[in-house]
Amino acid sequence: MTTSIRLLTRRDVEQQLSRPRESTDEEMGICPIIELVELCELLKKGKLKLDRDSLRLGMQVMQEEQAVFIVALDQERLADALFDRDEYIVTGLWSPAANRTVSPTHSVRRLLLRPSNQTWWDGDIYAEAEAIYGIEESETVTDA
Amino acid sequence: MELKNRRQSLMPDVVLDTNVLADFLAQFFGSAQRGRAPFTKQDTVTRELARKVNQIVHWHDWNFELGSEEDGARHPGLIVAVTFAFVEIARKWTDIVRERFTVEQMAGFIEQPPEWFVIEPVDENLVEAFCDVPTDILTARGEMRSLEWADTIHVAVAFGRGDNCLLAATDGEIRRIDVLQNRLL
Repeated sequence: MTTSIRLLTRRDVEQQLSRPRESTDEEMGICPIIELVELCELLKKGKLKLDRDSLRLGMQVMQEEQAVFIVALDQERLADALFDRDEYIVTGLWSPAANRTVSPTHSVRRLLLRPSNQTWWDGDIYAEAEAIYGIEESETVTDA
Repeated sequence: MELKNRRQSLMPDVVLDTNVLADFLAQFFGSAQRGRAPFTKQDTVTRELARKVNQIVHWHDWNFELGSEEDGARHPGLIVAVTFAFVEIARKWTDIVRERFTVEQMAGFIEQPPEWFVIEPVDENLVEAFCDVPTDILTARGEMRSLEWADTIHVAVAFGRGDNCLLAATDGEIRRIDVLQNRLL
């Protein structure tokens, strides 16, 4: 049996947090940490049905279950994704993220999902995020 | 290494926001010669921050020369920035960096920062601290304004590193957060 991989959208993550599902061996959800940050922001502004205890419990369940992989922006991911390289030599900043025409949220999302030889997911997950958020986020940039 | 330092640390860490980090890196790769010369008051690096950084660098140099890090009683803390601060520098490269350091230098710093500098991840632990940061700030003109997540995240890093962790921030709204008033550099 093979496990399929899918991107968890912000709405998927919200549902997962409010009604944690039992894990299956058939599907692995990839959750960029930025979706949790955004949900937390909405929660603090009273724009989410969840309360803080539910968020904490839901995150705990997500971490314990094997069905969701939370991609964090740590030092290694940053070093891997923020730069263009020729072999190991840095040749510049990776423009899809290092770009003021993209919102900070989407810059981070792109860095989290950028496929490389360090990631175990391929370009389909990145392309899926672009299809969902790419246009919307570019249109709502506020700090350009 | 960091866990050991954290256990021993008696002095507070210092978190740098995006603008302060950029000015810190400019000195690091410029006049401060990667920590071999002192940091000084310049741009957003205040006299107090420069003094704190020099204290931290000196402590690590001294302990490296002695070949020992067992003297935890005098540990001066660590300099900290969240990964997102580097992303913001990259997004606003021309305006923030102003040719004071290169992309290659920043990449090298991220891959191998000095032992006294910590690059904090944006992860599940930070989300917890993020929820503790106030959402609305009273501006100087008496209006309530929402703190954006991109600013909140630096405060969350400071909250996550203990009650006495300091924050070097330039953002006016961050500097108006009540609970930070005794923790700003």
